Amino acid sequence: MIPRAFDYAVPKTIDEALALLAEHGDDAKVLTGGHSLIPMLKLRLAQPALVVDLRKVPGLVGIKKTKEGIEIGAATTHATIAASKDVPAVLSATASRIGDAQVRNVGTIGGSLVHADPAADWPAAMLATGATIVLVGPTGERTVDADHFFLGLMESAAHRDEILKAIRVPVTKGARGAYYKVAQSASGFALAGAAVELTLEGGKIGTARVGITGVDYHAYRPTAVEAALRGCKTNPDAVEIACEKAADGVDPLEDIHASSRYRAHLAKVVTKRAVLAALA
Amino acid sequence: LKLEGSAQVALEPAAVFDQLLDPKVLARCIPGCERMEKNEDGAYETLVSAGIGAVKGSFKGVVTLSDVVAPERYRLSISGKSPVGYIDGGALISLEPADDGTTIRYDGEAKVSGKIAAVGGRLIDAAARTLVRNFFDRLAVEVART
Repeated sequence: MIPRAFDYAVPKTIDEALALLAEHGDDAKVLTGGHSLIPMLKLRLAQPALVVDLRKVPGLVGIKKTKEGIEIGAATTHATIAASKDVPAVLSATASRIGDAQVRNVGTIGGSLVHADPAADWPAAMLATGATIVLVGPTGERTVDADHFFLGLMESAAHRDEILKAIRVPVTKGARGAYYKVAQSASGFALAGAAVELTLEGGKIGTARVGITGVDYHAYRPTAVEAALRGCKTNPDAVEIACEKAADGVDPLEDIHASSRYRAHLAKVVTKRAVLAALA
Repeated sequence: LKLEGSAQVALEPAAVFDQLLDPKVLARCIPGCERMEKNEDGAYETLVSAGIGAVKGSFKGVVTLSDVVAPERYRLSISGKSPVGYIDGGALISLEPADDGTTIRYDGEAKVSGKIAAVGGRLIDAAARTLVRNFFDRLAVEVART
């Protein structure tokens, strides 16, 4: 449980941090909360030559209101988002279910997103809210839609020489949201988790966006479910039918904790429960 | 850990078979392969630095082929070790002519042990499948060049 020796840099500006990443390439890893990176260092599963600690870089922490919604700094902790009154309900619900109190108090949203664990909670909420990820690299800033950010197992659209700076989340007036997961009891990671944001129109569901995590190599939107939820009645039976296709077109993950079939089943269950929780 | 599946390549079986046994081609197709040499026993010695996300390990391995029936099938056995864990596995690889080339089927089993299995258990299956998919994607590119 002792990491291999590494160099440690504490840049004071984002440009300084980017210069370090550009210089060291694959040998450098970025640290914010460290709740994925530090365990991997200790187990020597990751052995970077340089750790670039972003905690002294100003402007990466906090939640700002913008014209379209909110902007969350990458180094904002899960606990801050869980307690925020300004974020959409689905975000605070998701944040409050991550890990345990210690993890939430130190772990950050940006770190979790870049790590892109297939069972992490945030990716589902990013898809459900239609968030935009702001990346900064050697050639400046670029944005990536949540729909195009999660590319594979622990693989995101962020390049090695880029830093995730912020997450922009649109806030829809009157939208309701919820997150529901069945967690692996030791790690708290989702065996299957669903984040939902929906609107009501005339007593029925108007539009709905759903993000599912823990089931596939990366979080995804079950588009057939979203289509079925449009105009759907709000009673549990109708919602259950609409959520039937939650794992369609997906070849679910399989591991010691859950078989592929069980995960496919859980995908439906958590989606239904998240929708019902959003409606409640 | 079971690995089963198939991949399509746009080349006739005999040519694909030669490619699959060519250490140079294998070196280019195996994700993270740094070295691949045939030793005097006919086995392939390899050094692969496989990585998924921030997790990386350098595996020293030996790949042995047996029951080779060109250009239809062969059995592949692999054993590798690294500071993060061990892998032992085997697979039956078979080639069938298809409409526009060859269907390669693989049916194998691998045992991963050591630290990587103890702590990365929930990701190993997905990681292995991702690496196999990458291999066949690269093979398709390789085949397209010939």
